Amino acid sequence: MLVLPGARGKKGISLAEFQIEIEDLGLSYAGAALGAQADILKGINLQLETGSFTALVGRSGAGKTSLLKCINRLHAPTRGRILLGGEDTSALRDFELRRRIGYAFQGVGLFPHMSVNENIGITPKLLGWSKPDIAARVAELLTLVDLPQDIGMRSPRALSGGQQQRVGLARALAARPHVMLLDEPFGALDPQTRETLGLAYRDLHQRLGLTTIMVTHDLEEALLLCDRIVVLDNGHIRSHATPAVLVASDDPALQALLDVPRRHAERMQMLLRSGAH
Amino acid sequence: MSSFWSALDLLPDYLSQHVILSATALLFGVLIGGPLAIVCAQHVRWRGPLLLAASLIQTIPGLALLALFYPLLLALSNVLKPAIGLSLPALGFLPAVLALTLYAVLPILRNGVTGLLSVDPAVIEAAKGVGMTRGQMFWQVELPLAAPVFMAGIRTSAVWTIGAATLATPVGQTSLGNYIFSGLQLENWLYVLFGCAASAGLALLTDICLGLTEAGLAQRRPMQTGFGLAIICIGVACAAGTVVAARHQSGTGVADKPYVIGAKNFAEQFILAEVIADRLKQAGAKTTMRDGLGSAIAFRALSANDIDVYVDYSGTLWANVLERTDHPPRAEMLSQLGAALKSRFGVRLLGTLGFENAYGLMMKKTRAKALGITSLQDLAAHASELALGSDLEFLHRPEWESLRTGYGLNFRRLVSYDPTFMYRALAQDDVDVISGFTSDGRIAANDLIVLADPRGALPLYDALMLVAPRRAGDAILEHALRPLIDRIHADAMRQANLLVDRDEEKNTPREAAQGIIDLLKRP
Repeated sequence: MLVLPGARGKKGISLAEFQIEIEDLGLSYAGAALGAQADILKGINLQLETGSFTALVGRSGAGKTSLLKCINRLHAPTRGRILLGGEDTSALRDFELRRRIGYAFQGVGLFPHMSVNENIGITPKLLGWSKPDIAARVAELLTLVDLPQDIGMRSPRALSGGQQQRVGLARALAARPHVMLLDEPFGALDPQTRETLGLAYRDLHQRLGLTTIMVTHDLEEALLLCDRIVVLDNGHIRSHATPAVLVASDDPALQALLDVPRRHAERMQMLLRSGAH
Repeated sequence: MSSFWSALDLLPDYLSQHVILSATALLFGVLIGGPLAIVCAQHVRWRGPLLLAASLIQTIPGLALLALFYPLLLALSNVLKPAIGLSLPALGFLPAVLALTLYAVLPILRNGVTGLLSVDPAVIEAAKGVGMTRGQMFWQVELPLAAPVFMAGIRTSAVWTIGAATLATPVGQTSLGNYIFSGLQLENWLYVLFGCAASAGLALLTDICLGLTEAGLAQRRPMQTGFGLAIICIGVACAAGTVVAARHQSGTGVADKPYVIGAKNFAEQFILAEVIADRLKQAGAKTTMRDGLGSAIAFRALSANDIDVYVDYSGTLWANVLERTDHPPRAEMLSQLGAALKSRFGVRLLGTLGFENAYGLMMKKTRAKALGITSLQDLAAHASELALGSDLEFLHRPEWESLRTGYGLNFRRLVSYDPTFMYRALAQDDVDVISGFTSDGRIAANDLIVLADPRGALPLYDALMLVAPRRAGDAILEHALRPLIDRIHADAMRQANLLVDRDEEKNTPREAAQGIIDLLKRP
């Protein structure tokens, strides 16, 4: 199509074997009461290959979103370091780091006082791109996320939930990031839109050669969309594997985690068989 | 109807000054309230104390807040003048604008905080996520989203400020309140109504324009936003033009500065101010009027050079300014007074006008006769069954203390009125005795008796012309006003007062002053 593997290698950083390297990452909150400290992340070590699509799963409070937000520093880690494309990010200022990373989340957070076009073009604008460059890029992105061009002049408030999330994805992709962080991006959508959008994103991820981390509470979504699954448990990494390896694991905790999708699959199978008779 | 046309005649001056005053206060309100709102939105620690302080200021009655700035600026000026040679005017525009600014801050602050805090957290997260700096986030996201709520606060503030600006008259700043205050003193209800209507109309118009702006901001229609603001700006510019033109007309150089004539808040003072103005105009000088001043404020304004000349009464100055309680004979009192005012305040006592306006306790003749009262001694025996009506300051003046202790007066009830209403209250038997003024035309008209003061508890109240320190050696003033010395007699003054104070066929102070001016022309 129009833009094949994005602007890969433009800055040379995606040549590294691992696009994201996390070393001994810790995050703790000074407790508001009693002066107690709550450790959210307890020494995370993680290496994600360039081009991988990784799901972060685990129970509520396991630290999925916290880990994700440490990467674009919406949370400030208390220790450890994070490398993107081999480069230590601690030298970058918050806003410089965030402009290099695409970020989309369940709340979307489109700017209600800007048009769809202005929303999508915001990071390029912050980076000082010229107006024609921004306009061309926005048009390209609307096509990429499968939205009609005439939606661009509209207010985000006039869009459906699915359309808003597509605009959110386009905005995250605007400055040609190598890394995308997604936090339950399809969470608020109906199941059909959710699947459509999920598959469309996976297609984009592959075509643009992105490295994506997606937080989801839905293990089925993780198993069906992603090529790597990281299971977090109480601030630790319990497992980091491909879906096939995870499913075959004999770790009882992981098996328990897989119980729900497995039962769903079995019931669904029975239902389909009885329907066929 | 002549009243209406004379009111309309004053409108350009009053309205333009009102607009400039309100607009300046509102502008300062925005400049202070806006940043404070940002501080409050970002620092929880400051939010409580700042909002509380603003709310507390709002609970101070407007008139009191304006009045408080007078002593405050006077004290500040006393400190600054020796230190850096800066003297602040304690009357007029400055105290009015400062008090109104304080008033204007609260709605802007409160709405600003609400607006900034109500920005969707998801939008804030997105703003950080796309890589905005703190400043970009504020200017490109938080402020535009809070703007309509901010604007609503400015709108509320504007309406309040325009209303409260009518209270600037007593501190010597001309506003639409001049209609209301002078109308109240002169029982010219058309003036009062005219002032209210003009102020309400201005507030309404401003509200509509700012409403347009607010809706324009909310619906992202820059044309509409600009249109609303443009009308406001044009209005303020017209007002500024009128004020500047008026200033220009009344002279620019120091020598050409108009003479500022002060007047306290009753008819006699308005009339005498008109007589003085007429004399000065005859001499080719320019004049402006600061009327409706409080009694104590008038003298301080004169000694601070905020006004150039006004009429006060010997007994008032003797008791209140010199704080004397003895009662020497007239000639001795005047010479001591003149010397003390000169040495202590630099104020020049130009001369007596020729009549006395003493405080006197008065009753209806019929009632006094029925009770057998002719003097204050007789009154003391009946006081416990009677109610005393006084003007707003009498009960706090040393003269009352002297009367009370001198005769042992213990009234059943004490009520304070605006001077005009005091005579009304006596006529309607709401009170039995009033502390009236002996030059008042209503004594004869209402058939009242002034109770004798055999023990001499009250001092003499000769009307005096006083001149501010900066005009003490002014030849024009001297030449113009000297002919007034001892030429205005009690009868003429009473008659003029009655023309203004009576209930029917009321004259304006200027019309009443004409009678005195005509008398002066006779040899």
